[in-house]
Amino acid sequence: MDAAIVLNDVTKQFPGSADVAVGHLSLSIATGTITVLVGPSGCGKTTVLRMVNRLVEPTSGQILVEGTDIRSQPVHELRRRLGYVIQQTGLFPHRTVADNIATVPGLLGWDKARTAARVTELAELVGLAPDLLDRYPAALSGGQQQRVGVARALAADPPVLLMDEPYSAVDPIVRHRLQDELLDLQQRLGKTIVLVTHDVDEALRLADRIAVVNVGGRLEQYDTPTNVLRQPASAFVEQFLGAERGLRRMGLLHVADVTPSGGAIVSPTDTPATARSAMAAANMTWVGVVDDGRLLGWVDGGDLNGQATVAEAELRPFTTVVQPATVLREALDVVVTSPMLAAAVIDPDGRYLGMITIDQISDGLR
Amino acid sequence: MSAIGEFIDYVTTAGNWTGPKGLLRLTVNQLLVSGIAVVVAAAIAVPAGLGFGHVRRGGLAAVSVANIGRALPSFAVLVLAFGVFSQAGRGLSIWPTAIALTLLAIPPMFTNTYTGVRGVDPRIRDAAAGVGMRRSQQLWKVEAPIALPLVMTGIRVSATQVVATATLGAWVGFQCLGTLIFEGFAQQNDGKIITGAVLVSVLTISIEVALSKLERRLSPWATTPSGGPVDEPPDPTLASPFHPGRPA
Amino acid sequence: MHKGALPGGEAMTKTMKSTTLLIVALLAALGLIASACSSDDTADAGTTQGPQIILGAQDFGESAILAEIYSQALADAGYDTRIQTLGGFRDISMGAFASGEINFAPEYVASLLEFLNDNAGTASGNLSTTLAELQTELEPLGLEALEPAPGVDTNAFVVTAETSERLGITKLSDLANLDSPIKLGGPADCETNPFCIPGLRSVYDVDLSGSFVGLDSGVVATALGNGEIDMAVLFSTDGRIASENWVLLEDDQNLLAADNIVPVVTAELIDAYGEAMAKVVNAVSQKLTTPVLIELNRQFDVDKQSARDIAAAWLADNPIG
Ligand SMILES: Nc1ncnc2c1ncn2[C@@H]1O[C@H](COP(=O)(O)OP(=O)(O)OP(=O)(O)O)[C@@H](O)[C@H]1O
Ligand SMILES: [Mg+2]
Repeated sequence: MDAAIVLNDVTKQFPGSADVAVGHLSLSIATGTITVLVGPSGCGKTTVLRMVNRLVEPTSGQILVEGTDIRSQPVHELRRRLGYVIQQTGLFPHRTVADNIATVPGLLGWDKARTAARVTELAELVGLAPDLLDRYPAALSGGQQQRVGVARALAADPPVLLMDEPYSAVDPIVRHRLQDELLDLQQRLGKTIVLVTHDVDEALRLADRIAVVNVGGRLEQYDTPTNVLRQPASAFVEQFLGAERGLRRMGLLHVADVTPSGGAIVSPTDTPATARSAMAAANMTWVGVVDDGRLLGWVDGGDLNGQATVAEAELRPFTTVVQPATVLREALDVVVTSPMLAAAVIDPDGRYLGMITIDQISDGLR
Repeated sequence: MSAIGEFIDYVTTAGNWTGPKGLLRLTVNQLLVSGIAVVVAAAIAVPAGLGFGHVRRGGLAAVSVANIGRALPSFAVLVLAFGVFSQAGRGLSIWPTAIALTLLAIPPMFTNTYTGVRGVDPRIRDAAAGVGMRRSQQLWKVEAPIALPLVMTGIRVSATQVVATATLGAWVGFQCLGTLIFEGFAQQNDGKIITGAVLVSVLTISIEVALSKLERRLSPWATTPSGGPVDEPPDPTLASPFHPGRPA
Repeated sequence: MHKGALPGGEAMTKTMKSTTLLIVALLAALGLIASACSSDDTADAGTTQGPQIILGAQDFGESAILAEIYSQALADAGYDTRIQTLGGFRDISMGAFASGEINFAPEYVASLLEFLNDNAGTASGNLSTTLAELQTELEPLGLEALEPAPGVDTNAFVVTAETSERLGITKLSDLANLDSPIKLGGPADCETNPFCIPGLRSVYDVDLSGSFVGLDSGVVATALGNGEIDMAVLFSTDGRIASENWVLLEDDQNLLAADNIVPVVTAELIDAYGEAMAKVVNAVSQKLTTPVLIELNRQFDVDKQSARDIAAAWLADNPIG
């Protein structure tokens, strides 16, 4: 994977301040991924982001965007390739929504028709109703403003999107929706996104890779969300992630990430004796009935009394079912609330893949 | 005769409206000298205010300097200007009045323009730079339009002050509506005095009203109702705090 | 700046009507009138028993100087005196007499007469008849004029030495010989003042109404000095006539009125102090000649000294009695 943005030993010391805001930071951000910078207030996250688009000039070190030093080109040209979205949007209050979105095309001298088509396209992409386009930003809700901010940043199709606490000013429900939209957008457009937040959950939700930053811009850990949760690199990271690390991780993993057991199963043609020995082997009082890769139901010992084959017994329907795409945290909920303390894993085609219990889940987290 | 009677008498006498000292000519002169002063002052004060506001440095000192013009009594400035122009043989012209009024007009325009640009939300300035505007584009496409309502307020305040104060020009021989008041006092002609005062007031109020309208016309965004926007309704499908569709 | 409406002018003949007050209020709002209504206390310990002598001073130099001179002379003679600063209109000073705010004011014989008789035009160049008429007008008001000073402050038609030489004019009758009317600048009342343009027309047969420009009295001299006007209407006691070496055109056909300085006092003051006070005042008035006034005004206008200092110095040099 090639790197869209590379920071080489970058330091920033603001004039008149004793401590460095960012000290000797090196970071490589892969193309087409979402990287989230997370850390406590004042640790230098914003400074890092603003050094990339040269709103802040590093004191020392080097920054490359798509392989070229950011100082080797006119600053306004650099910035037009780096979409920038900030907290509370920074929308231009004197321009309509459409004109806000058309800002960069305007700077690039696009013709009217092309600009108008692009504005319509972007409004649809970020989920803005067309009737909002003629309004001024003051007449939009916070969530709508945030969408306009994203549309404006995307207007000239920049390969990189820099986002500084884009969702901090909207309520949690809207924030969730916007986060989903961002993930969806990134799936479709494949942008390289660098996002700054101090919200751990937001970081875990959005990131392909999380950079946990400590005061002074020190990089504590740079890894995938699950790895960061599984193995915090330092006490700082561990403390920063807070309690319920296991639960948080399960929120990121899926049933497919754990290996199900085959489970105690028999076929309808098996005898009750076979079924009883399968129960005994699994130390259970019931057994699943699978025919041709499909789970038909389950029976317990009493159901089999006086029957010639398992098929003659009355099968009970299996209600605790999960899919491979089910988030592990939900699967755990299913397992612990099921009377059998197990859930069957069934793929979308109805094929039986196995059983999971607490044991499989905890193995998966290891 | 009552004041209103004398006033009506004066303005209904056709001869008072025409000729070199007629009301029409005096009104035109009052507007002309005010127009010159406002245009010249705007040409100086607005660019200066934009510049200082944009670089965000030295503005306070500049505001203080500009305000010296406000601290000086207009009449004293007028007499000084008359003396200066008189030495060049141009005292009995429109210029002493125009210059004195220009000095009067500069401070409100400069201070408002400077404050307007200086007061642009730092996030908006950031956004302007961040989308890749050059410095001049940041100023002209973002800072100046956002400051426009205040710039216009400065111009309006200056213009009304100037039109009212242009009256003083009469005292240094510039024929304007003030001449009616100047002569009216010396000649005990109440009709003249009140006509001058009424016409000056009418001009001043008209200009105030016209410029207020223009101000609103030029910045429709600044008058958008502020109460309205409601955030979108919550999406009921978002029950889980974790993202449901994240691919494994 | 309303000085022009006072000595040689007609000033305001009507008492201030509500309309005029309205206009004054309007102008005040426009910043045209620098309000000058503070009181100026001269706390001399008086030895003579009786009412305090309150002198009204108008808002121009000569009036302030004269008020100071009379006040200081009276104080030296043991009277309790005080100066009340007034605005520039004669309505105000006469009103101040009526309301008891002042009981003494330096005035001008002919101008005050014309003010009191509603511009009847009876004032003339003859001092004794004009003074007699003035006393007649003052009496019903409970006022009395003391002896007038020899010094006259009247309209003066002034040209620069250069203009005088070039056009060959030294007296007002010379104006009639000019090919084209010369440009005249002066206070705005000149257009209607019988001692200005109308008087020039009737007495000297020159019509300057077409070439007249009305100016604030503070800039008339400037305009003359810079050659923007050819002839200026100033006061005969204007200090700049001497300092600039200008030529005061001779009033060879007696257009101008007897605007001698005259102290006007209330009858009440005369009753209280009688001849003793009149003697002090008259002794001062006797010494106030036109050249003296020009010099005193010069110290005020050109040297920028205060009225109080000018008066004190003059009294020191010219002790009374
Ligand atoms: N323009 C500046 N001049 C001086 N110091 C600055 C400037 N900008 C930031 N700093 C300092 O640099 C440090 C890092 O600031 P930065 O804004 O990057 O933090 P942050 O991680 O974004 O914090 P937050 O989460 O509160 O936004 C802080 O100590 C801050 O005070
Ligand atoms: Mg920040």
